[in-house]
Amino acid sequence: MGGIELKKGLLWLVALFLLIGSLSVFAAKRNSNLIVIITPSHDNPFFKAEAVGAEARAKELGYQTLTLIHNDDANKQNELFDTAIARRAAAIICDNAGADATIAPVRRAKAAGIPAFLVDREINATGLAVAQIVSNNYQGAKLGGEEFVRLMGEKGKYVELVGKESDTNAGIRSKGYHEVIDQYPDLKLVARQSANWSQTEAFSKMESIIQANKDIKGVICGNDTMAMGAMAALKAAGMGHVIVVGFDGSNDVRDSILRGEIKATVLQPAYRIAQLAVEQADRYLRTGSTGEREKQLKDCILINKANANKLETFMLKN
Amino acid sequence: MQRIFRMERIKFLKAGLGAILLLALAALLSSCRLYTVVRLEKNADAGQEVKVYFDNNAFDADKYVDAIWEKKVVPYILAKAVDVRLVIPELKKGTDAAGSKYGIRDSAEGSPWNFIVKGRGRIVAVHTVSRNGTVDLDLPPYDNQPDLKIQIGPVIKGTSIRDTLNFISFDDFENQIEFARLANAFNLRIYNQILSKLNFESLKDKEVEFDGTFTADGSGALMIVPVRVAPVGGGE
Repeated sequence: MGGIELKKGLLWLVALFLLIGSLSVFAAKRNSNLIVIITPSHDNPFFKAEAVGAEARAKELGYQTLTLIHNDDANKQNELFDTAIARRAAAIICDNAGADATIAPVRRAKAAGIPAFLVDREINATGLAVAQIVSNNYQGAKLGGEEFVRLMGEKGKYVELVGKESDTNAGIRSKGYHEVIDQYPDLKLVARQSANWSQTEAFSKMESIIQANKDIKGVICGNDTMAMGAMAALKAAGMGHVIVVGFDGSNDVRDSILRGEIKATVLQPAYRIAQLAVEQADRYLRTGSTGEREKQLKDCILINKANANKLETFMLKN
Repeated sequence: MQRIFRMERIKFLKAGLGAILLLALAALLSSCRLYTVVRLEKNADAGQEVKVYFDNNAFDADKYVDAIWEKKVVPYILAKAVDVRLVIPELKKGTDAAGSKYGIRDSAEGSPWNFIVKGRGRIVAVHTVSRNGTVDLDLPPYDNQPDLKIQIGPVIKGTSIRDTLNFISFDDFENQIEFARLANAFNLRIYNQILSKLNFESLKDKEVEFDGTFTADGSGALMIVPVRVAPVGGGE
C-alpha cells in the first residue's frame, strides 16, 4: 500500500528530475538574451571598432550586450568567459587572447551550452567554436607587399619595421610581405627592426636607420601606428618622398594618404567582421545553424589614394 | 498531494516517461560533438630575427599539390570552364551579377568572386619587364584591342586556383599561412610545369587556347592564371 505509493512517488520524482535535466541543457541557450563581447583593449581603435560594431548589431537585433576587455591576458580572458557562463549568456563574441590559451574557455562555454563566435584571430582547434571569422592577415600582407613592390618600381633599397615579436600577427604580416617582395631580387632590404607596434619607437628607430641609409626608397611597416612614426621621422629628415606602407586602415593613415604622405595601407574590416559574428550568432540561436562553415577567412582590402576617402573607422563605404 | 496520484495521471506519467527519457538523452548527446585539437609547431627560424608563431613545416604544400594536380585539379577546371566571352559582358554589368551567374566564392560575404573560364584568342602584346609577366589577349572578332590578360610568371599573383576548387576548404588547414602556402604551391607548379616551357615572345600575333581561373577585383579587368595554354594547331 504505502510501498506502491512510494514507488509511484519515486517514479514521479525521477520523471520530473529528468524533465528538468533535459530542459536545463536548452535553458542555457534560451533563457538569457545577453550577448557578451570580449576583445583586447580599446586603446587600439581597431579593437574598439570591433566591440562597437558587435554591440550595435546585437542591439539592433534585440539583444542586451555586455562588453568586456581581456588586455591580451589569457587568465583575465578565462575569468571573463566564466562571467559569461555564470550570466547564462546567449552567445559569446570574442577576439581571443591566444590561439592555444583560448581552447579551454571556449570548450567550457560549449559544455555550458553557450556558443562562442571568434572574430579576427583563429584558435588551434576546430569543433569547439560555432564560427571563427578570421581576418586574412596573410592575404592582406601580400596585398600591401604587392602595392609596395609596384610603388618601388620593383627595385631599390628598403626598410622593414616589424611589430611585437610575441604577437602572431607580427610574424604573419612580415612573412606575407616577404613572400611577395623576395621574388624581386632588385629590392634590397637594408634594415629590419621591431618597433613593437609603437609610434614613438618607430620614430626613434627610423631616425637612427636614416643616419646610416640616406638612400632608402621605401619603408614597409607591420601596422599603421609604426607607419605614422616612420613617416614623421622621414619628414623631419627632409625625406618625405620616401614610400611608406602600413597595415590596419586607421583614420590617421587615411588622412596621411589623402595628404599625399603615406602611400598605402591594408584595411582589415574589423567592424564588419564583428557585425557578421553577431548576425551568425543570431541565426544560430534562432535556427540552430549559421549556414556557414566554422572557419571563414575574410579578406583585407588595399587602401591607397584611389579609395582612402571612403574609409571611416575600419569600414569602407561604397 | 493525494490527488496527484490519481490513476489517469499515473498512466499519463508512464507514457510520458519514455518520451522524457529520450528527450533527455538527445539533449545530453547533442551537446557533446567531437572536436579536434590542431597542434601548431612553435618553431623559431634561426635565420630570422622575428619568430613566426604559425610556422609549421610539417605541411608540405608542394607534395599536397602534386598529389591532386593531375587527378583532381586539372580535370575539375577543364570540366567547369565557361567560355570567357559569356563572362566578360556580365562582369561589365557588375561583379555580383557575373558572380551569381558564373562565379564561385567561399561564403556570402568578405570573399571575392572567382571564375573558371576557357577561350581562344590572339596574343597582341607580351609584357616581361615586370617579373609578374603577362600577355594581352584579343578575343574574336579580332580588333587588335586586348580583352584580357594571362599571367605568364615568373611571379604569379593571387589565389584564384585554390579558391575555385570546391574540394579545398580553409576548414581543412591548420591556419591561414598553410592555406596561403597551398595557393603559392599551385602558382609555382603552373609556372614550372607549364609557363616556363613556353616562349611567349615567339607566340606574339599567334592564336592560343587556354583554360584557367581569375579573381574578380571589381575593376572589370581579367588576369587569368592558366592551367592549360597552348598554341592553336600546336604550332609554335
